[in-house]
Amino acid sequence: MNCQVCRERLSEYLDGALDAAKIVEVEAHLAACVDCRETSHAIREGIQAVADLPAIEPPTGFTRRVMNRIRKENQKPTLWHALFYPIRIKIPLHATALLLIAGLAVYLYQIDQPLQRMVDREEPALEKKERLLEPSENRPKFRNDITTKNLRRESSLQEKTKESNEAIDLRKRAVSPPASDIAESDKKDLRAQSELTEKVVSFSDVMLTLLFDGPADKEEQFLQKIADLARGLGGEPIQQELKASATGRASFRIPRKHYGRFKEEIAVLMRIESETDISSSRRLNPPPSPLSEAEKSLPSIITVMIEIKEAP
Amino acid sequence: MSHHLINQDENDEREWVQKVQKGEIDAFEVLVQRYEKQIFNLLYRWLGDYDEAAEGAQEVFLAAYRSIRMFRGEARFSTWLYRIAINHAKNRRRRIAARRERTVSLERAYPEEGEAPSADLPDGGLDPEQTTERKEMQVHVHHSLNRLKPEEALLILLHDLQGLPYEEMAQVLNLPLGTVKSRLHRARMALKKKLTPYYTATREGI
Repeated sequence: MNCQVCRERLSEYLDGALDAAKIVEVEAHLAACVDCRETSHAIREGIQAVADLPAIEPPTGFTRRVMNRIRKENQKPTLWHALFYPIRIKIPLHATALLLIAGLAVYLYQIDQPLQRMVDREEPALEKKERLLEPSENRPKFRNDITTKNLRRESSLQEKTKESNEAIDLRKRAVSPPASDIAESDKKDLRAQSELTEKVVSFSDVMLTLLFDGPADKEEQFLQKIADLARGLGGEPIQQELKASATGRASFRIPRKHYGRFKEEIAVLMRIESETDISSSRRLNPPPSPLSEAEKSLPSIITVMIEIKEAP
Repeated sequence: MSHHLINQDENDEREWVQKVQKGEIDAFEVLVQRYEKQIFNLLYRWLGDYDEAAEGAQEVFLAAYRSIRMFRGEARFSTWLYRIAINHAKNRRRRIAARRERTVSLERAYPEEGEAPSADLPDGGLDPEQTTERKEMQVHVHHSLNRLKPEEALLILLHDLQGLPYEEMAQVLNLPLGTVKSRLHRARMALKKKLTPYYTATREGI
């Protein structure tokens, strides 16, 4: 055994964690090598010095203070708390707002469509008018009008294409190969879910609201950690949106069976303020398209939206 | 100082955790009492400041209570609690560092090592028979730990102060067992480097 190997094993040797054969080797080397013997001695002194540090008593009344804070936290039923407490799954204000906004968006989109059709129908009529008015000096004005209208229509079309491109991007990302240690079955589930997602992109199953108490610039690192966590559990991140001062949102797809673990790991990193089962509200307000059989049964992959708020 | 619990308490502990999960707030008191000293001492040695440790330890237990429903008993409760404590302490370290940076840039006259981690150390923990020399030694060890890289100090504290076995350290830190062993060794070598001059000086009576 040379000095380097011996030194690498010294810590374990001193902890009594080596097997008998290795102990013999290390001891033989120590008997022969003064340098390693000194190193071993110095490490041992260090270990002892740390072990000898006196145990310091926590401040008096530590437990009482902790328990007081916990009890206080538990007995402040606000109006909202009182209102929603009987419901097993609490629906916080922001989740309700989110659903309302989604509903409003669908509504606006629908009332927009008849308008579009009206514009389509309008055009030939205008052209007729144009022909009728051909000799008049009003004609260029009409042309302008039509150009503006067409432009407007084009830009709205472009916007729509952009939107659908984004949706395709999202789907592409969703289908992209997930982390290495994902189980085969999870992969299949994921693919099935990805197809599903094409129909219901904007709906999450669960929303977790987290309170972030670290510095704002560490939030991205934190989201990165959650993304790694999701990948490690056979899921994947879908989208992420960081805002100013430690707030942000991100969505992840997680195998349902690993969701508990996912939550537990997050709880180590950050305080989970609330957990909302959005899928049940989704059932209350189903999206306009009829649900397929696969969607009705519990999907094995769930989508988790994470919302981060700054801790007060 | 090895507060580490042995297996026989584990079942009992699981019961207390379940009680808390069912909403019995008082059951949490048992868990706080059981771990307050460990968590507080880890934070005190790692952060190097008594008040920060006291405040930090409180936050750790609050955080644990708030998310105890997420704890599913796959690991030991202590492992989970340590993970919360370390994560919390990391954030706190960053804040302390940022604050210190501001103070230093404002008052450059202060030397870098002016933190004096043991200046605020209450006498309660010290044995009255301890010689001044021994006290000095402890202060020196405390300082040396604080001058190591935070990750190195943490490994040493978890193993040599708190008595966590390699396996539990691996779980707490989410690292492979081999990595824990090699990093602990490297950390001890770093501490040795800081302590050796002091030992040599003491032995030579300087």
